[in-house]
Amino acid sequence: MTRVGHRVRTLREQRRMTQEALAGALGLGHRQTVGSIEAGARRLSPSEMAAAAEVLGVPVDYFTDPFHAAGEAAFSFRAEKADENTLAAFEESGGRWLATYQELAKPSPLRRAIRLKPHDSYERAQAAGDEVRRALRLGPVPATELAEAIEREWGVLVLYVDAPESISGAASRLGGVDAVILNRRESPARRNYDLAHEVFHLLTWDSMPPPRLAQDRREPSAKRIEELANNFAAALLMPEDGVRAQWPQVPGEDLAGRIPGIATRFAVSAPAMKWRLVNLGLLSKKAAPTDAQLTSVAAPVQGRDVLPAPFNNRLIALMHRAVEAGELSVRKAAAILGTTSYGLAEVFRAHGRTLSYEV
Amino acid sequence: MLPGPVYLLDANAIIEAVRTGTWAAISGGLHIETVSECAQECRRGDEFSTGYVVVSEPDLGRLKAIHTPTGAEVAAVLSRPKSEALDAGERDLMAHAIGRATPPAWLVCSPDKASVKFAVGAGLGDRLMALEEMVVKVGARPMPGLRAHFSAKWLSTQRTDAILEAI
Repeated sequence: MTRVGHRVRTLREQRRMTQEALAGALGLGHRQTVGSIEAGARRLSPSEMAAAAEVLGVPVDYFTDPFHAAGEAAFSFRAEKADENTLAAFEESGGRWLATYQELAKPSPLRRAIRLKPHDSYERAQAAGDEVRRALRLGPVPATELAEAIEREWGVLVLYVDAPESISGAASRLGGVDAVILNRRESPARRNYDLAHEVFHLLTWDSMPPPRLAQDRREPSAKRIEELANNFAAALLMPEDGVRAQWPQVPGEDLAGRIPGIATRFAVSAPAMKWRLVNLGLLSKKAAPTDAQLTSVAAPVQGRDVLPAPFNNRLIALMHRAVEAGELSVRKAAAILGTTSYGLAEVFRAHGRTLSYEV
Repeated sequence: MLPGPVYLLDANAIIEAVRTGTWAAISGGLHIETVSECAQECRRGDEFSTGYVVVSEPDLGRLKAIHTPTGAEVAAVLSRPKSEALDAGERDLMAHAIGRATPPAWLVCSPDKASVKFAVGAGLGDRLMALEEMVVKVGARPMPGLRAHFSAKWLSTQRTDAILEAI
Protein backbone atom coordinates (compact mmCIF):
# COMPACT_ATOMS: atom_id res chain seq x y z
CA MET A 1 0.00 0.00 0.00
CA THR A 2 1.31 3.46 -0.84
CA ARG A 3 1.36 6.43 1.56
CA VAL A 4 -1.35 8.14 -0.50
CA GLY A 5 -3.54 5.04 -0.57
CA HIS A 6 -3.13 4.41 3.14
CA ARG A 7 -3.98 7.99 4.06
CA VAL A 8 -7.01 8.10 1.76
CA ARG A 9 -8.35 4.93 3.33
CA THR A 10 -7.66 6.04 6.90
CA LEU A 11 -9.36 9.39 6.37
CA ARG A 12 -12.30 7.88 4.54
CA GLU A 13 -12.86 5.46 7.41
CA GLN A 14 -12.50 8.24 9.98
CA ARG A 15 -15.14 10.21 8.09
CA ARG A 16 -17.34 7.07 8.02
CA MET A 17 -17.60 7.18 4.23
CA THR A 18 -18.02 4.10 2.12
CA GLN A 19 -15.80 3.55 -0.91
CA GLU A 20 -18.90 4.01 -3.00
CA ALA A 21 -19.67 7.39 -1.41
CA LEU A 22 -16.12 8.61 -1.96
CA ALA A 23 -16.13 7.35 -5.53
CA GLY A 24 -19.37 9.27 -6.11
CA ALA A 25 -18.02 12.46 -4.55
CA LEU A 26 -14.87 12.28 -6.69
CA GLY A 27 -16.75 11.35 -9.85
CA LEU A 28 -14.80 8.09 -10.11
CA GLY A 29 -17.78 6.02 -11.21
CA HIS A 30 -17.20 2.85 -9.21
CA ARG A 31 -16.17 2.00 -5.68
CA GLN A 32 -13.52 -0.40 -7.04
CA THR A 33 -11.58 2.59 -8.31
CA VAL A 34 -11.34 3.90 -4.74
CA GLY A 35 -10.34 0.38 -3.67
CA SER A 36 -7.53 0.40 -6.24
CA ILE A 37 -6.34 3.83 -5.08
CA GLU A 38 -6.35 2.72 -1.45
CA ALA A 39 -4.49 -0.46 -2.34
CA GLY A 40 -1.89 1.55 -4.23
CA ALA A 41 -2.74 -0.12 -7.55
CA ARG A 42 -3.94 3.14 -9.11
CA ARG A 43 -2.52 6.64 -8.68
CA LEU A 44 -4.62 9.67 -7.91
CA SER A 45 -4.40 12.25 -10.67
CA PRO A 46 -3.63 15.82 -9.47
CA SER A 47 -7.24 16.91 -9.97
CA GLU A 48 -8.51 13.81 -8.14
CA MET A 49 -6.09 14.45 -5.30
CA ALA A 50 -7.30 18.04 -5.00
CA ALA A 51 -10.92 16.88 -5.04
CA ALA A 52 -10.21 14.17 -2.43
CA ALA A 53 -8.60 16.77 -0.16
CA GLU A 54 -11.66 18.96 -0.44
CA VAL A 55 -14.14 16.14 0.13
CA LEU A 56 -12.22 14.76 3.11
CA GLY A 57 -11.49 18.21 4.55
CA VAL A 58 -7.68 18.21 4.63
CA PRO A 59 -4.92 20.21 2.92
CA VAL A 60 -3.89 18.69 -0.39
CA ASP A 61 -0.40 17.71 0.86
CA TYR A 62 -1.96 15.64 3.65
CA PHE A 63 -1.82 12.59 1.38
CA THR A 64 1.80 12.94 0.31
CA ASP A 65 3.87 14.65 2.99
CA PRO A 66 6.16 12.10 4.67
CA PHE A 67 7.13 14.71 7.27
CA HIS A 68 3.60 14.78 8.63
CA ALA A 69 2.21 12.03 10.87
CA ALA A 70 -1.28 12.41 9.38
CA GLY A 71 -2.88 11.56 12.72
CA GLU A 72 -1.09 8.22 12.97
CA ALA A 73 1.16 8.98 15.92
CA ALA A 74 -0.13 7.79 19.30
CA PHE A 75 0.72 9.66 22.50
CA SER A 76 0.56 9.02 26.22
CA PHE A 77 1.10 12.25 28.14
CA ARG A 78 2.27 13.12 31.60
CA ALA A 79 0.46 16.42 31.68
CA GLU A 80 -1.15 18.27 34.54
CA LYS A 81 -4.07 20.52 33.70
CA ALA A 82 -3.32 20.58 30.00
CA ASP A 83 -6.39 21.49 27.98
CA GLU A 84 -7.41 19.67 24.83
CA ASN A 85 -6.15 22.41 22.51
CA THR A 86 -2.70 22.28 24.11
CA LEU A 87 -2.54 18.50 23.80
CA ALA A 88 -3.78 18.52 20.20
CA ALA A 89 -1.27 21.20 19.20
CA PHE A 90 1.52 19.24 20.86
CA GLU A 91 0.45 16.05 19.09
CA GLU A 92 0.59 17.88 15.77
CA SER A 93 4.17 19.08 16.44
CA GLY A 94 5.29 15.81 18.01
CA GLY A 95 3.85 13.87 15.11
CA ARG A 96 6.00 15.92 12.73
CA TRP A 97 9.18 15.19 14.72
CA LEU A 98 8.47 11.46 14.73
CA ALA A 99 7.45 11.40 11.07
CA THR A 100 10.65 13.24 10.15
CA TYR A 101 12.74 10.75 12.09
CA GLN A 102 10.87 7.88 10.46
CA GLU A 103 11.41 9.32 6.98
CA LEU A 104 15.07 10.19 7.41
CA ALA A 105 16.31 7.39 9.70
CA LYS A 106 14.24 4.51 8.33
CA PRO A 107 14.38 2.79 11.73
CA SER A 108 14.21 -0.95 12.13
CA PRO A 109 10.69 -2.24 12.73
CA LEU A 110 12.00 -4.59 15.45
CA ARG A 111 10.83 -3.63 18.93
CA ARG A 112 11.63 -4.65 22.50
CA ALA A 113 8.76 -5.58 24.79
CA ILE A 114 8.30 -6.86 28.31
CA ARG A 115 5.59 -9.34 29.07
CA LEU A 116 3.45 -7.71 31.71
CA LYS A 117 -0.29 -7.37 32.08
CA PRO A 118 -2.28 -4.85 34.11
CA HIS A 119 -3.11 -7.49 36.73
CA ASP A 120 0.56 -8.34 37.32
CA SER A 121 2.03 -7.42 40.69
CA TYR A 122 4.13 -4.37 41.49
CA GLU A 123 6.96 -6.77 42.33
CA ARG A 124 6.88 -8.08 38.76
CA ALA A 125 7.05 -4.54 37.44
CA GLN A 126 10.04 -3.88 39.72
CA ALA A 127 11.70 -7.08 38.56
CA ALA A 128 11.22 -5.90 34.97
CA GLY A 129 12.89 -2.59 35.88
CA ASP A 130 15.86 -4.49 37.34
CA GLU A 131 16.03 -6.71 34.26
CA VAL A 132 16.01 -3.75 31.88
CA ARG A 133 18.79 -2.04 33.86
CA ARG A 134 20.91 -5.18 33.63
CA ALA A 135 20.13 -5.69 29.94
CA LEU A 136 21.22 -2.15 29.17
CA ARG A 137 24.32 -2.58 31.39
CA LEU A 138 23.61 0.65 33.23
CA GLY A 139 26.09 1.74 35.91
CA PRO A 140 25.51 2.64 39.56
CA VAL A 141 23.62 5.83 38.62
CA PRO A 142 21.26 4.48 35.93
CA ALA A 143 19.48 7.80 35.39
CA THR A 144 22.57 9.37 33.87
CA GLU A 145 22.95 6.64 31.22
CA LEU A 146 19.40 5.60 30.43
CA ALA A 147 18.65 7.98 27.55
CA GLU A 148 21.83 7.20 25.68
CA ALA A 149 21.48 3.46 26.29
CA ILE A 150 17.92 3.14 24.95
CA GLU A 151 18.87 5.16 21.89
CA ARG A 152 21.97 3.12 21.23
CA GLU A 153 20.60 -0.33 22.07
CA TRP A 154 16.95 -0.06 21.05
CA GLY A 155 16.80 2.91 18.69
CA VAL A 156 14.35 4.78 20.93
CA LEU A 157 14.24 8.49 20.08
CA VAL A 158 14.57 10.69 23.18
CA LEU A 159 13.55 14.27 22.40
CA TYR A 160 14.14 17.26 24.68
CA VAL A 161 11.74 20.01 23.74
CA ASP A 162 10.34 23.31 24.94
CA ALA A 163 6.88 22.00 25.77
CA PRO A 164 4.05 23.95 27.38
CA GLU A 165 4.48 24.08 31.16
CA SER A 166 1.52 21.76 31.63
CA ILE A 167 3.21 18.92 29.71
CA SER A 168 6.18 17.26 31.39
CA GLY A 169 6.61 14.37 29.00
CA ALA A 170 5.07 11.81 26.69
CA ALA A 171 5.64 8.39 25.25
CA SER A 172 4.86 8.26 21.59
CA ARG A 173 4.75 5.79 18.77
CA LEU A 174 4.53 6.16 15.02
CA GLY A 175 5.08 3.23 12.69
CA GLY A 176 8.56 1.96 13.49
CA VAL A 177 9.46 4.89 15.74
CA ASP A 178 9.29 4.68 19.53
CA ALA A 179 9.95 7.99 21.24
CA VAL A 180 10.04 9.64 24.62
CA ILE A 181 9.45 13.37 24.51
CA LEU A 182 10.61 15.31 27.56
CA ASN A 183 10.04 18.91 28.55
CA ARG A 184 13.64 20.08 28.74
CA ARG A 185 12.70 22.89 31.16
CA GLU A 186 11.81 20.37 33.87
CA SER A 187 14.38 19.59 36.56
CA PRO A 188 16.83 16.79 35.70
CA ALA A 189 15.33 14.64 38.48
CA ARG A 190 11.85 14.99 37.01
CA ARG A 191 13.10 14.35 33.49
CA ASN A 192 14.97 11.24 34.60
CA TYR A 193 11.94 9.79 36.30
CA ASP A 194 9.64 10.67 33.41
CA LEU A 195 12.04 8.97 31.01
CA ALA A 196 12.09 5.71 33.00
CA HIS A 197 8.31 5.87 33.39
CA GLU A 198 7.76 6.39 29.65
CA VAL A 199 10.18 3.56 28.83
CA PHE A 200 7.75 1.28 30.66
CA HIS A 201 4.91 2.45 28.41
CA LEU A 202 6.97 1.86 25.28
CA LEU A 203 7.90 -1.65 26.42
CA THR A 204 4.31 -2.58 27.30
CA TRP A 205 2.49 -0.58 24.63
CA ASP A 206 0.92 -3.63 22.97
CA SER A 207 0.02 -5.59 26.10
CA MET A 208 -1.36 -2.59 28.01
CA PRO A 209 -1.79 0.43 25.75
CA PRO A 210 -1.23 3.51 27.90
CA PRO A 211 -4.04 6.06 28.21
CA ARG A 212 -3.61 9.29 26.26
CA LEU A 213 -3.49 11.11 29.58
CA ALA A 214 -1.70 9.37 32.44
CA GLN A 215 -4.10 10.79 35.02
CA ASP A 216 -7.22 9.92 33.00
CA ARG A 217 -9.58 8.56 35.63
CA ARG A 218 -12.21 7.60 33.06
CA GLU A 219 -9.98 4.71 32.02
CA PRO A 220 -10.45 2.03 34.70
CA SER A 221 -7.04 0.48 34.05
CA ALA A 222 -5.16 3.79 33.73
CA LYS A 223 -4.36 4.11 37.43
CA ARG A 224 -3.10 0.54 37.63
CA ILE A 225 -0.89 0.95 34.56
CA GLU A 226 0.55 4.17 35.96
CA GLU A 227 1.36 2.48 39.27
CA LEU A 228 3.09 -0.37 37.48
CA ALA A 229 5.07 2.17 35.46
CA ASN A 230 6.12 3.97 38.65
CA ASN A 231 7.27 0.72 40.24
CA PHE A 232 9.22 -0.17 37.12
CA ALA A 233 10.83 3.29 37.01
CA ALA A 234 11.75 3.21 40.70
CA ALA A 235 13.50 -0.16 40.39
CA LEU A 236 15.22 0.85 37.17
CA LEU A 237 16.62 4.11 38.53
CA MET A 238 17.22 3.18 42.16
CA PRO A 239 18.74 -0.32 42.29
CA GLU A 240 17.96 -2.05 45.56
CA ASP A 241 21.58 -3.00 46.32
CA GLY A 242 22.83 0.50 45.70
CA VAL A 243 20.11 2.12 47.77
CA ARG A 244 20.64 -0.29 50.69
CA ALA A 245 24.37 0.35 50.60
CA GLN A 246 23.84 4.08 50.84
CA TRP A 247 21.18 3.99 53.53
CA PRO A 248 22.77 2.80 56.76
CA GLN A 249 20.19 3.07 59.48
CA VAL A 250 21.10 5.48 62.24
CA PRO A 251 18.42 5.83 64.92
CA GLY A 252 17.11 9.31 65.49
CA GLU A 253 18.75 10.85 62.47
CA ASP A 254 17.31 13.73 60.46
CA LEU A 255 15.56 11.86 57.65
CA ALA A 256 14.27 14.97 55.91
CA GLY A 257 17.85 16.11 55.66
CA ARG A 258 19.31 12.78 54.49
CA ILE A 259 16.85 11.68 51.83
CA PRO A 260 17.65 14.53 49.41
CA GLY A 261 21.34 13.63 49.66
CA ILE A 262 20.84 10.04 48.59
CA ALA A 263 18.31 11.15 45.96
CA THR A 264 20.97 13.41 44.48
CA ARG A 265 23.39 10.50 44.23
CA PHE A 266 20.85 8.62 42.07
CA ALA A 267 19.79 11.76 40.15
CA VAL A 268 16.16 11.41 41.20
CA SER A 269 13.86 13.61 43.25
CA ALA A 270 13.71 13.38 47.04
CA PRO A 271 10.05 12.26 47.05
CA ALA A 272 10.86 9.49 44.53
CA MET A 273 13.69 8.29 46.78
CA LYS A 274 11.48 8.46 49.86
CA TRP A 275 8.92 6.13 48.28
CA ARG A 276 11.64 3.77 47.12
CA LEU A 277 12.97 3.58 50.67
CA VAL A 278 9.46 2.96 51.98
CA ASN A 279 8.78 0.24 49.40
CA LEU A 280 12.10 -1.45 50.17
CA GLY A 281 11.17 -1.50 53.86
CA LEU A 282 14.09 0.74 54.77
CA LEU A 283 11.86 3.54 55.97
CA SER A 284 8.48 3.33 57.63
CA LYS A 285 5.69 5.30 56.03
CA LYS A 286 4.97 6.79 59.42
CA ALA A 287 8.51 8.03 59.94
CA ALA A 288 8.88 9.35 56.40
CA PRO A 289 8.91 13.12 55.98
CA THR A 290 6.18 14.63 53.82
CA ASP A 291 6.95 15.54 50.22
CA ALA A 292 6.63 19.21 51.19
CA GLN A 293 9.25 18.81 53.95
CA LEU A 294 11.58 17.09 51.50
CA THR A 295 11.13 19.72 48.83
CA SER A 296 11.97 22.47 51.29
CA VAL A 297 15.38 20.93 52.04
CA ALA A 298 15.98 19.30 48.66
CA ALA A 299 19.61 19.24 47.63
CA PRO A 300 20.38 20.27 44.08
CA VAL A 301 20.40 17.45 41.58
CA GLN A 302 23.57 17.24 39.58
CA GLY A 303 23.24 19.05 36.28
CA ARG A 304 20.21 21.12 37.32
CA ASP A 305 21.47 24.15 35.47
CA VAL A 306 22.45 22.33 32.32
CA LEU A 307 19.62 22.61 29.83
CA PRO A 308 19.78 19.73 27.34
CA ALA A 309 20.30 20.74 23.72
CA PRO A 310 16.91 20.95 22.00
CA PHE A 311 15.44 17.91 20.25
CA ASN A 312 17.87 15.06 19.69
CA ASN A 313 21.36 14.81 18.31
CA ARG A 314 20.60 12.04 15.81
CA LEU A 315 17.40 13.66 14.55
CA ILE A 316 19.17 16.99 14.11
CA ALA A 317 22.12 15.32 12.36
CA LEU A 318 19.72 13.68 9.93
CA MET A 319 17.86 16.94 9.30
CA HIS A 320 21.12 18.83 8.83
CA ARG A 321 22.26 16.30 6.27
CA ALA A 322 18.89 16.49 4.50
CA VAL A 323 19.03 20.29 4.30
CA GLU A 324 22.57 20.26 2.99
CA ALA A 325 21.67 17.60 0.44
CA GLY A 326 18.63 19.53 -0.80
CA GLU A 327 16.28 16.86 0.54
CA LEU A 328 14.64 19.37 2.87
CA SER A 329 14.42 23.11 2.41
CA VAL A 330 15.58 25.42 5.20
CA ARG A 331 12.06 26.75 5.61
CA LYS A 332 10.52 23.29 5.72
CA ALA A 333 13.09 22.08 8.26
CA ALA A 334 12.43 25.16 10.39
CA ALA A 335 8.67 24.60 10.17
CA ILE A 336 9.06 20.97 11.28
CA LEU A 337 10.88 22.13 14.41
CA GLY A 338 8.42 25.00 14.91
CA THR A 339 11.02 27.70 14.52
CA THR A 340 12.41 30.24 12.05
CA SER A 341 15.43 29.91 9.75
CA TYR A 342 17.48 31.66 12.44
CA GLY A 343 16.10 29.32 15.08
CA LEU A 344 16.99 26.35 12.90
CA ALA A 345 20.58 27.54 12.61
CA GLU A 346 20.70 27.87 16.41
CA VAL A 347 19.38 24.33 16.91
CA PHE A 348 22.00 23.03 14.47
CA ARG A 349 24.69 24.98 16.33
CA ALA A 350 23.56 23.51 19.66
CA HIS A 351 24.39 20.10 18.16
CA GLY A 352 27.72 21.25 16.73
CA ARG A 353 26.53 21.64 13.15
CA THR A 354 26.79 24.63 10.89
CA LEU A 355 24.41 25.49 8.12
CA SER A 356 26.05 26.38 4.82
CA TYR A 357 23.34 29.01 4.32
CA GLU A 358 23.90 32.40 5.94
CA VAL A 359 20.74 33.09 7.93
CA MET B 1 1.41 44.06 -22.46
CA LEU B 2 4.03 43.23 -19.87
CA PRO B 3 7.28 45.22 -19.85
CA GLY B 4 9.48 42.09 -19.85
CA PRO B 5 9.69 38.79 -18.10
CA VAL B 6 7.67 38.06 -14.99
CA TYR B 7 9.77 37.31 -11.93
CA LEU B 8 8.24 34.92 -9.40
CA LEU B 9 9.85 35.42 -6.01
CA ASP B 10 9.50 33.29 -2.91
CA ALA B 11 9.48 34.63 0.67
CA ASN B 12 13.23 34.14 1.10
CA ALA B 13 13.98 36.37 -1.87
CA ILE B 14 11.46 39.08 -0.95
CA ILE B 15 12.72 39.23 2.64
CA GLU B 16 16.35 39.43 1.49
CA ALA B 17 15.52 42.23 -0.93
CA VAL B 18 13.80 44.16 1.87
CA ARG B 19 16.69 43.45 4.27
CA THR B 20 19.27 44.76 1.83
CA GLY B 21 17.25 47.83 0.86
CA THR B 22 16.91 46.74 -2.76
CA TRP B 23 13.19 45.93 -2.75
CA ALA B 24 12.03 49.35 -3.91
CA ALA B 25 14.45 49.29 -6.84
CA ILE B 26 13.75 45.77 -8.07
CA SER B 27 10.00 45.90 -7.50
CA GLY B 28 9.93 49.28 -9.26
CA GLY B 29 12.07 48.20 -12.19
CA LEU B 30 10.94 44.61 -12.71
CA HIS B 31 7.60 42.86 -12.91
CA ILE B 32 7.54 40.86 -9.69
CA GLU B 33 4.82 38.49 -8.58
CA THR B 34 4.46 35.88 -5.86
CA VAL B 35 1.90 33.49 -4.38
CA SER B 36 -0.31 34.10 -1.36
CA GLU B 37 1.49 31.54 0.83
CA CYS B 38 4.83 33.34 0.27
CA ALA B 39 3.21 36.68 1.05
CA GLN B 40 1.90 35.15 4.28
CA GLU B 41 5.36 33.82 5.12
CA CYS B 42 6.72 37.35 4.70
CA ARG B 43 4.18 38.61 7.25
CA ARG B 44 4.64 35.74 9.70
CA GLY B 45 7.10 35.48 12.56
CA ASP B 46 8.07 37.21 15.74
CA GLU B 47 9.35 40.65 14.91
CA PHE B 48 11.35 40.69 18.13
CA SER B 49 13.23 37.48 17.31
CA THR B 50 16.83 37.57 16.13
CA GLY B 51 17.26 38.47 12.50
CA TYR B 52 13.58 39.16 11.88
CA VAL B 53 13.02 41.41 8.89
CA VAL B 54 9.80 43.40 8.82
CA VAL B 55 8.11 43.20 5.43
CA SER B 56 5.35 45.78 5.54
CA GLU B 57 2.06 45.83 3.70
CA PRO B 58 3.28 48.71 1.50
CA ASP B 59 6.29 46.51 0.64
CA LEU B 60 3.96 43.69 -0.40
CA GLY B 61 1.78 46.23 -2.20
CA ARG B 62 4.62 46.74 -4.67
CA LEU B 63 4.10 43.23 -6.04
CA LYS B 64 2.36 43.25 -9.41
CA ALA B 65 0.29 40.17 -8.50
CA ILE B 66 -0.21 37.64 -5.73
CA HIS B 67 -1.52 34.32 -7.01
CA THR B 68 -3.23 31.45 -5.28
CA PRO B 69 -2.59 28.20 -7.14
CA THR B 70 -5.51 25.81 -7.48
CA GLY B 71 -5.60 22.57 -5.53
CA ALA B 72 -4.95 20.66 -8.76
CA GLU B 73 -1.89 22.83 -9.53
CA VAL B 74 -0.51 22.14 -6.05
CA ALA B 75 -1.31 18.44 -6.41
CA ALA B 76 0.56 18.40 -9.73
CA VAL B 77 3.69 19.53 -7.86
CA LEU B 78 3.08 17.03 -5.08
CA SER B 79 2.94 14.26 -7.65
CA ARG B 80 6.51 15.03 -8.68
CA PRO B 81 9.63 13.61 -7.00
CA LYS B 82 11.36 15.75 -4.34
CA SER B 83 8.30 17.96 -3.80
CA GLU B 84 8.09 16.81 -0.17
CA ALA B 85 11.32 18.74 0.47
CA LEU B 86 9.61 22.09 -0.12
CA ASP B 87 7.75 24.22 2.36
CA ALA B 88 4.26 25.45 1.53
CA GLY B 89 5.39 28.74 -0.04
CA GLU B 90 8.13 27.20 -2.16
CA ARG B 91 5.72 24.49 -3.28
CA ASP B 92 2.95 26.92 -4.21
CA LEU B 93 5.37 29.12 -6.15
CA MET B 94 6.44 26.10 -8.22
CA ALA B 95 2.77 25.10 -8.59
CA HIS B 96 1.93 28.52 -9.96
CA ALA B 97 4.98 28.54 -12.23
CA ILE B 98 4.21 25.13 -13.68
CA GLY B 99 0.49 25.81 -13.96
CA ARG B 100 0.95 29.25 -15.50
CA ALA B 101 0.10 29.72 -19.13
CA THR B 102 3.39 29.52 -21.02
CA PRO B 103 3.92 33.00 -22.45
CA PRO B 104 4.80 35.52 -21.17
CA ALA B 105 8.24 34.49 -19.99
CA TRP B 106 8.73 33.97 -16.29
CA LEU B 107 11.66 33.31 -13.99
CA VAL B 108 11.76 31.90 -10.51
CA CYS B 109 13.87 33.14 -7.63
CA SER B 110 13.75 30.54 -4.83
CA PRO B 111 17.22 30.26 -3.32
CA ASP B 112 17.28 26.95 -1.52
CA LYS B 113 19.03 23.73 -2.51
CA ALA B 114 15.76 21.81 -2.22
CA SER B 115 14.02 24.32 -4.51
CA VAL B 116 16.84 24.19 -7.06
CA LYS B 117 16.82 20.41 -6.98
CA PHE B 118 13.06 20.26 -7.48
CA ALA B 119 13.13 22.85 -10.26
CA VAL B 120 15.87 21.03 -12.15
CA GLY B 121 13.98 17.73 -11.77
CA ALA B 122 10.81 19.39 -13.05
CA GLY B 123 12.63 20.78 -16.10
CA LEU B 124 12.66 24.35 -14.80
CA GLY B 125 16.40 24.63 -14.16
CA ASP B 126 16.94 27.26 -16.86
CA ARG B 127 14.09 29.34 -15.44
CA LEU B 128 15.88 29.92 -12.15
CA MET B 129 17.34 33.31 -11.43
CA ALA B 130 19.41 34.65 -8.55
CA LEU B 131 18.33 37.74 -6.65
CA GLU B 132 21.78 39.16 -7.34
CA GLU B 133 21.08 39.15 -11.09
CA MET B 134 17.87 41.09 -10.53
CA VAL B 135 19.64 43.60 -8.32
CA VAL B 136 22.34 44.10 -10.95
CA LYS B 137 19.70 44.46 -13.67
CA VAL B 138 18.14 47.48 -11.95
CA GLY B 139 21.48 48.90 -10.79
CA ALA B 140 20.71 48.73 -7.08
CA ARG B 141 23.36 48.48 -4.39
CA PRO B 142 22.54 46.09 -1.55
CA MET B 143 23.30 47.49 1.91
CA PRO B 144 24.24 45.26 3.69
CA GLY B 145 25.44 42.89 1.01
CA LEU B 146 23.37 39.97 -0.23
CA ARG B 147 23.99 36.71 1.52
CA ALA B 148 25.83 34.04 -0.42
CA HIS B 149 22.88 31.90 -1.46
CA PHE B 150 21.27 34.84 -3.25
CA SER B 151 24.27 35.16 -5.58
CA ALA B 152 24.45 34.07 -9.20
CA LYS B 153 27.50 31.97 -8.36
CA TRP B 154 25.65 30.02 -5.65
CA LEU B 155 22.74 29.35 -7.97
CA SER B 156 25.02 28.27 -10.77
CA THR B 157 26.86 25.82 -8.51
CA GLN B 158 23.67 24.33 -7.10
CA ARG B 159 22.03 24.08 -10.51
CA THR B 160 25.05 22.25 -11.90
CA ASP B 161 25.17 19.95 -8.89
CA ALA B 162 21.48 19.22 -9.28
CA ILE B 163 21.86 18.46 -12.99
CA LEU B 164 24.78 16.17 -12.22
CA GLU B 165 22.79 14.72 -9.31
CA ALA B 166 25.59 15.71 -6.95
CA ILE B 167 23.00 17.01 -4.51
